[in-house]
Amino acid sequence: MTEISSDVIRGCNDTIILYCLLSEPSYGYEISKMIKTKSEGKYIIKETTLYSAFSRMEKNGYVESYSGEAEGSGKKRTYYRITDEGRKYYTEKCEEWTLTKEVIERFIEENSNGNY
Amino acid sequence: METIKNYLDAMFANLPNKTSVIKAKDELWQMMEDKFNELIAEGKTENEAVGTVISEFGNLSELAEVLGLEDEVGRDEAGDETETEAERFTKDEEPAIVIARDAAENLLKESAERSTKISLGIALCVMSPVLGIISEAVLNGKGGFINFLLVCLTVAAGVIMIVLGANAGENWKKYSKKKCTLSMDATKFVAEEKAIYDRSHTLVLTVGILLFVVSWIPAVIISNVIPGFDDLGGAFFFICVGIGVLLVVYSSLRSRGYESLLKLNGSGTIKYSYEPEEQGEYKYISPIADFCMSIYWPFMTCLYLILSFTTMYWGLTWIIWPVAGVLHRPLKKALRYKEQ
Repeated sequence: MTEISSDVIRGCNDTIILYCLLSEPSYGYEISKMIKTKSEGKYIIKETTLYSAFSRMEKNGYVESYSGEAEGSGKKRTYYRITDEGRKYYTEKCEEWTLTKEVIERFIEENSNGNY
Repeated sequence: METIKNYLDAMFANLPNKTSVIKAKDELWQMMEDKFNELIAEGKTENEAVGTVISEFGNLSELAEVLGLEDEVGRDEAGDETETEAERFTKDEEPAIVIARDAAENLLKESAERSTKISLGIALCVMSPVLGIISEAVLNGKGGFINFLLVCLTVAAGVIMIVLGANAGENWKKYSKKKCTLSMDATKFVAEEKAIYDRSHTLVLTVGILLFVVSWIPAVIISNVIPGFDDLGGAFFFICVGIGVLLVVYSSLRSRGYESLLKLNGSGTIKYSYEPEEQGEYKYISPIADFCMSIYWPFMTCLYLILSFTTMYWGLTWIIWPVAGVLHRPLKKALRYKEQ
C-alpha cells in the first residue's frame, strides 16, 4: 500500500491542524486522533511534527495555547485554540490547496483500469 | 510506560537546557502518555502500545527549528551533509549518565548522613568548653588538668565527626566527576522531597538563629538569680550557641544536598520537570503586596533607627536585623506566584 510521504504533506499539516481546531479548542493527542479518524487511518501524524507545527503557528499568532485540565482525570494538558488570524490563514491555505490540486491533477494521468 | 519515559529521556539527554526544550519535552510526553493510555484501554498489550507510541513519535530533527537549535545546527560546516540535523545537535563526546530514582534516593540519604555528622562535629567544637566549665564548677576550681582534658576530648570528638562526615560522600564523589543527569522520575522525586524538606528548613533555620540571639539570656539569668552557679552560666551560653550552630549548619547542608542534585540537570542538559525558582518570572499576588515587599528593607531600617533612638537600647535593637532577614524569605514566597 502506498503511504503518504512526509515531504508531500508537510505544506498541508497547518491546514489539517487548523481544521481540527475550527470548532473548539483541543490538545495534542485529541488532534492526532482526529486526524487519524478523519483520514481513515491513512495519515498518522508524528508527535514531533505536531509539536513543531503547534509552536510555529503559535509564534505566528495562528493559535494560542493555554494550560487546562482534562475532564474526569484532572490531568494537566496544553490546549490550543485558533485565533482570528489563524482562521484567515486557514482560508488562505484552503484556497492555495484548491489551486495546487487543480494544477497537479492536470499532470496525473489515470488509465481506464484505475492505474497510473 | 517506563520504556517510553526512558526513550524520551534518552532522546533529550544531550540537548541544551533551555525553556523551549523543557516545554517541548513536557508536551511530547503528554501526547505519548495519552496515546499509550488509549492503546492500553483498547486492549493492546503493553509491548504493542510502547511499540506504536515510539514508532509514531517522529524525528527530533523536526524540532530543531522550533527549539531554537538551528544556530547550533547551522554553525557546522556545510560539508557534512550526510549527518542529519538531529545527529548534529545531539552528538556529544560523552553521553550523560542518567541517575535513576533509586540512586537519587541513596544520594539524598548520603547527604542527610553527611549533614548530621558535619553539623554535630562543628557543634561539638563550639560546645567544647561546656564539660570543662561543669567540671570546674563541680570540682570547685581544682580541676586544672582534668578540665583541659575534657575540653580537648570534646574537640577531638567534634573533629572526628567532621572528618567522618566529609568522607561520607562516596557515591556523590563518584557522580560528580562525570557528566550526569537525573531521570524524569528521579527529578520529580527529588523536587518533591525538597518541597517537603523546605517547609521544615525555614523553621529549623529560624530556631537556630533565634538560639544565637537569645544565647546570653540563660547565662544572665543563672548568674544573677541563682547565686553560686554563676560559673555555669557560661556553659549554658555555649550550649545555646552550639545547638544554634547545629541547626543552622545541618539545615543549610541538607538544603544544599537537594540543590546540588537538581543542579545536575543544569546547563548542557535537559532538566525535565524541575525548574529552579529563579528561572521563572515571579510576580506578587497584588499591587499592595508588591508595594509592601518593595519597602520591606527601608521600613526595617526606619523601624531600627526609630526604636534605637527613642529607647536608646542599641544593645538590643540590632535583633531586628536577623529576625527581619529570616522573615524575608517565607514572606516573599507566600506573597508571590509564578507567571505562566
